[in-house]
Amino acid sequence: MNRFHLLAVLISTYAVLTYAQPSYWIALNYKVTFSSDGSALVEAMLHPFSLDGNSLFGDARVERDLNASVRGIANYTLLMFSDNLKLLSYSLLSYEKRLHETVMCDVANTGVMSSFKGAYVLSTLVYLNTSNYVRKLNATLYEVKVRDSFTSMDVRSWIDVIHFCFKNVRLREFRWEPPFARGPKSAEDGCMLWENYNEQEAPDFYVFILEAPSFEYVGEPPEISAVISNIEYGYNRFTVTVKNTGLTSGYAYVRVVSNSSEQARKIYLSARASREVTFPNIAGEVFIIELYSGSELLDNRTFTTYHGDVVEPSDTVKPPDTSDKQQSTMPSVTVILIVTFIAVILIILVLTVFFKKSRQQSQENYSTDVYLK
Amino acid sequence: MRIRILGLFLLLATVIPSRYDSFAQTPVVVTNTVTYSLHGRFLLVNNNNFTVRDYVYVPLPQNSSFQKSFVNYMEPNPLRYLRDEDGNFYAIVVVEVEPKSNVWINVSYTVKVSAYRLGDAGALWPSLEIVRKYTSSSGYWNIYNSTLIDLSYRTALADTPLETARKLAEWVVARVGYRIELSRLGSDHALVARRFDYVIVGDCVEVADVYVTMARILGLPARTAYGLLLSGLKGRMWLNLTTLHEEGLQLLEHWGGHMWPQVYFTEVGWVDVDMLDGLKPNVGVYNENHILFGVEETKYYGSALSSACIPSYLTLQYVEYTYEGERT
Repeated sequence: MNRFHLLAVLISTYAVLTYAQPSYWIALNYKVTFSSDGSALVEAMLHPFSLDGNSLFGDARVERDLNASVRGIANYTLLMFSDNLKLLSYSLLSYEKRLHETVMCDVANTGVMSSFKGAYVLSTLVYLNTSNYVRKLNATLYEVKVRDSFTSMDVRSWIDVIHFCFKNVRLREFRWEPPFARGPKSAEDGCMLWENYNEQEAPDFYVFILEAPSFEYVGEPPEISAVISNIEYGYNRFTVTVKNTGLTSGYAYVRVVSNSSEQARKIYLSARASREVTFPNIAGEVFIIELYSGSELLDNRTFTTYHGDVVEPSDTVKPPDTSDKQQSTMPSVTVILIVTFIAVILIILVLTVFFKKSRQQSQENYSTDVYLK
Repeated sequence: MRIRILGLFLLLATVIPSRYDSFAQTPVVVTNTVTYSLHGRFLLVNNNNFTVRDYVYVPLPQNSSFQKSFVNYMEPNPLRYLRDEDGNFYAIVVVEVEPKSNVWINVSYTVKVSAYRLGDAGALWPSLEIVRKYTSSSGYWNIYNSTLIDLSYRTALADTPLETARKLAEWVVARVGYRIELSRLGSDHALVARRFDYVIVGDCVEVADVYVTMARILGLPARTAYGLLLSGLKGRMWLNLTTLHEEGLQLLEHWGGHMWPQVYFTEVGWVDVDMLDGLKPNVGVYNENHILFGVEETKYYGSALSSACIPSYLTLQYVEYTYEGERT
């Protein structure tokens, strides 16, 4: 039996330590069909029942609750394929009431699966090319993780039955986590079926190695388009200006890397806006400054410094702030000025002495002349 | 009014001893260490008409740089110990209870807690991997909320992580509008516009959520920690879940469940920012009254273990902790 209950969505915390008691439970069955283009058709089949095990399918109050919770159920579905909802592309296909669908669960943890007739079914098409639960192993091979997002949200919850099928995709290997959980009940005809009687026996992760030649993994999409518009260096600190060149707002990352250190900052940029961020206390002489959004590298520059005061920018980098340079050349200018001043004084002194002597000599000559006269 | 309420909540906010005057060039200075004997008991009731064999999830005090925890015993014996996705340890206990009967789970821990104060740290921004991992958006920390983005940049954009953490803490602590929330609002709903300013409505959870969201907006890795805030070296705290909703603020007189933010500084790792401890910014000022039971880092809906005891089919009715500490 599944322990998922809608009230648990309002999870309380340690501060107040309470869990609202559920008024009904929901049996949860999933069917996931992987396709060769990297999409997964996910059908969440829900059947509510009372604590005594009686079906509540068609109950007006419960139906209202479920209808109001479609968004939440969709989130759970998406969180099976990524821990970040922003990363996934998806289409909500339909939410319908199927009278002839069968949903199974172990109602009272007795080790017996019961069948319920009828299901509320939410169908979603999830594109895995941006999921961070997908890892590219080689040109055609991918590791795809599917998480039991219900357990992740509430340790008591789990998916009762999950059925994986692979359409034009070759399943090479599979495993599940944790290892003490139960394996699949059946694995045949390109499909695998897990029947989970309780949370401890239900895997937290289902992991598949899939061969999908036509699948192209792109990673986390960029939120914005941006460039590094300016870099300033001085006193062991960089100030980097980033300009959003597009019409959407979002986050980017600026990373400063040297052979001995790395620092990164995340910045939010509105459309067409610029923002300046500082990296103090940097160490190294050659730096690479990178700008990312999502997993895409948008811009990068190389920057070289020597002794912390002379800067030799690469051809793509704006020259450094001249105020730093002025400060760094100040001592030599002062020395030249002082030397010039002393030299001028000396020259004046020499000239004074020279003129004094010549005047004295001329006076002496005159006197002599007079005397001689 | 707010001060009085918080005074109840933080009954014995520790006065940090003044013996860490010079700690320049030292990232962290341990100021005090206390070893606690912590005993807990949880009453579970079977309200069903059938015998229940239930898995009960019991979160444990964690190990960290400033806390070492030991399980002395647990009755009934745990089936196994596990870790969740954020690395928090918990125990699984199996109980079988007849209809309309109950069962007690008893636990005993030894927890060694070190108070500390941050020294020379918080000058370097973290690596890209850390920033990516610990600044993402989640159900309770919506980093795309335009009001929070605007406020974060206007009030706390700074050159260093330490400066950012401090500015943010000063801003948040000045806007706490304390009230007990039995459900979690998340930062989107905890921040409320008033005529001239914003107020963070809610309890420690909402304050932590707003702080973490704003820190993440500014690229400062942040998460929440949860556990108990003790009132001195010896005491008892309890919770009756059948009367919880009627209690209101009286709850604070006998219960010390707590949540607070942490930020990541490259030089030292995770640093506590418990602003409700004395209503001060407290970046890296941590006292020995905290017992850490877990952290929330990456999971979209927060921790699944932020309760003292989590049964499945049974109903948790009563929780009690007694503790006695000794300075070491």
